[in-house]
Amino acid sequence: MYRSHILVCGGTGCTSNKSFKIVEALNKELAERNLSEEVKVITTGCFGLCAKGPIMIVYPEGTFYHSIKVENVPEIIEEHIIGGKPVERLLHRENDGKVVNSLHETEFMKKQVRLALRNCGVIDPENIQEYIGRDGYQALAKVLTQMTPQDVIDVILASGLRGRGGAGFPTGLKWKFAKASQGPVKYVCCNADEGDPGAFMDRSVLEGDPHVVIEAMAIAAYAIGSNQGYVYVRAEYPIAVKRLQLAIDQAKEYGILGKNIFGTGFDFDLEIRLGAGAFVCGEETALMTSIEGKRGEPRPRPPFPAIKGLFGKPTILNNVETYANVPQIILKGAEWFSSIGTEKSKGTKVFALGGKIVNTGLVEVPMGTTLREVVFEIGGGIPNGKKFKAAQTGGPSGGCIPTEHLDVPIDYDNLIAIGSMMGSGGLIVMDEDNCMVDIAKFFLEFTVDESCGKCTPCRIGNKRLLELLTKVTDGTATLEDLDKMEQLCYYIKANSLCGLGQTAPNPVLSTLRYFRDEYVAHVVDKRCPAGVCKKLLKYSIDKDKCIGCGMCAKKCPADAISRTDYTAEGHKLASMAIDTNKCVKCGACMSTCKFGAVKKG
Amino acid sequence: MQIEQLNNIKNEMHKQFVNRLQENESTIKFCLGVKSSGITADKKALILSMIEYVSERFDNALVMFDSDLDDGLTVFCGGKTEYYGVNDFNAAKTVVDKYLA
Ligand SMILES: Cc1cc2nc3c(=O)[nH]c(=O)nc-3n(C[C@H](O)[C@H](O)[C@H](O)COP(=O)(O)O)c2cc1C
Repeated sequence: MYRSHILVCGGTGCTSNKSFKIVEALNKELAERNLSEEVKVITTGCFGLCAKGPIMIVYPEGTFYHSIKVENVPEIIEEHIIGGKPVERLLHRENDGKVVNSLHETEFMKKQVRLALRNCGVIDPENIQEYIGRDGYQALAKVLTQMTPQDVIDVILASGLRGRGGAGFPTGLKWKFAKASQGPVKYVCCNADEGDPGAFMDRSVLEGDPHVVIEAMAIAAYAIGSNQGYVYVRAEYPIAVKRLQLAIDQAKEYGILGKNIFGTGFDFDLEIRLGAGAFVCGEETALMTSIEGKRGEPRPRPPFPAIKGLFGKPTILNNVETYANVPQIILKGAEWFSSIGTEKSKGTKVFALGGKIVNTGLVEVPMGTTLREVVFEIGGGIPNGKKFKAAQTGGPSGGCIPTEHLDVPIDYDNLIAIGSMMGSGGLIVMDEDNCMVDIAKFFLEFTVDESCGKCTPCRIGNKRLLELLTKVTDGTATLEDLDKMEQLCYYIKANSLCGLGQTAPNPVLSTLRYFRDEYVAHVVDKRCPAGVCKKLLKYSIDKDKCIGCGMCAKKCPADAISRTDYTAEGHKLASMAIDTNKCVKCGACMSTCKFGAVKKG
Repeated sequence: MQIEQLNNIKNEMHKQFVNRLQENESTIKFCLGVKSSGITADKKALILSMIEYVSERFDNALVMFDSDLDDGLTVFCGGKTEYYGVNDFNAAKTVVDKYLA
């Protein structure tokens, strides 16, 4: 029994901020002061507020410390653990300066509802007993002893749970099809490939609560009649892979995986397969091909995996976050789950908030929360007083949502209606300094790179589309090119083999739909309104503002800045000027000038 | 592993979580005042016994030191605050039991 628990985030974000050094320092300090028997230090998964890492929470008070440094540790032990008073200086301050003691009182947390992330930041993910202490494996025990496979499927169907990995397909329906498929061998797979740039929800679940995925997969296996599962996870997630493997080993040791689980006669085993980071391997058929040891290329559907999947056998594949909801649904019931969310999208969704936003991190909100709430209340708004321009959801398959749709309740169907999609939950915020043509180009470059090349519309069509888009950003496109682009988008969408090609043009289409004026400015005025597209950029020096200090010339790597004969009134030195023929548009002059004399346009 | 074993681990671990939960409106807080005494060895022994006792009886309760309160035990429950001038485990147990109902 401990009188106090100190929880330190050991997710990837905080680990890269060296949170493990904080853990070491805490343990050392506690040992030196003979407090190790009274106070326990626990490394947990992600608390969500990644922007402020390393994060630490001290219980029982629930005191939230962030941006902690090793030097702060003795003070926290002395004042808080020994003295009984939180170190106020290190507490969180909201934007208005208000001091907040607990993470749950922050604006960031207030509107969040943590279902999929319920154990992240709460338990030690490397200790199966902590998971069990939070009702872990109770749902599996319940299904194996009190429910038939059909009961399980009925509950999942009634809950309204839809897949969190992409298209939002009803999970219960997928399981029902797989159960109905005949055959002695079936497989249960988990998609932890998480290829969308900016998405890290699945990684956080695996890092913070790996047993939930194991438990849910065992439940799914029982429901469809399978004895073998695979988790496909990218090798670039070393912490997630390590903790998942540890969790599998512990579950085997406890007899929760393997033969005759809980003495019920049900057998289930689970293995990890590492992906090499190809985006296309997140597509379900490519993923299965990759598990089979072949090159990860998609296969035409039908037949769907529920009929003919991994190794030609009936298979279900679900996303990590989808699975993370399952044990709670079994324990608390379909009605409880379906009471959260909107009519057609039940439960919550985890978003990875990134881009131009104050609170970068992971948020979990009920379906139906508006983008405004996510960006401005939970996310803390746009930094540096800049204006919100758009939010990109759905990664390379998604689209950009402009200001006019900030109040649309986020769910699967609403996002599709406004030209985007839920995708896996990456949410990248853009401000007035982002060029929307450049954003579309960024995502298209990604999909062109990641296309497996198997089908022509995707392999060649997207490449042609990128060439047209590059003409726009270079200022050499015509208005007819914009029409051509749009037409090409529809051809690619209609004719590609898999979801990668079918959705790759979405970022182009959505930016054309909402930000056509920016495209037109590039094409007609040969101007990038946000000042991002290099070929259309011109740097100049306002000769009346320039004091002639010459710092810009010193910093210029191209020797493009020289002194003029003109001395502005009140200044002692002649002003500087940029030779646009020599300028490489690196922007060094602008960031060096303290007098705001360098202009971009 | 059998289900009874799973439940045994659950119950044992559950005790650990009692003092590691995020408080909400229905959390009962048992606070030991340490303003005048400081966190002494006696106070530490008392808090550990109380945590054990409370964790076996409550799902949503916290036991903590409070350096803003003088000696004794202050209980925060359902928006009400009650002070008890108790400083030993037997007396504290009687107070805790009052809140079981
Ligand atoms: C190109 C491409 C990449 C994908 N990447 C992922 C991924 O990283 N993770 C994921 O869960 N689903 C991904 N999907 C969706 C999967 O094909 C599949 O629909 C999903 O894993 C099913 O699980 P769910 O029903 O639980 O959402 C991707 C789809 C496409 C077309």
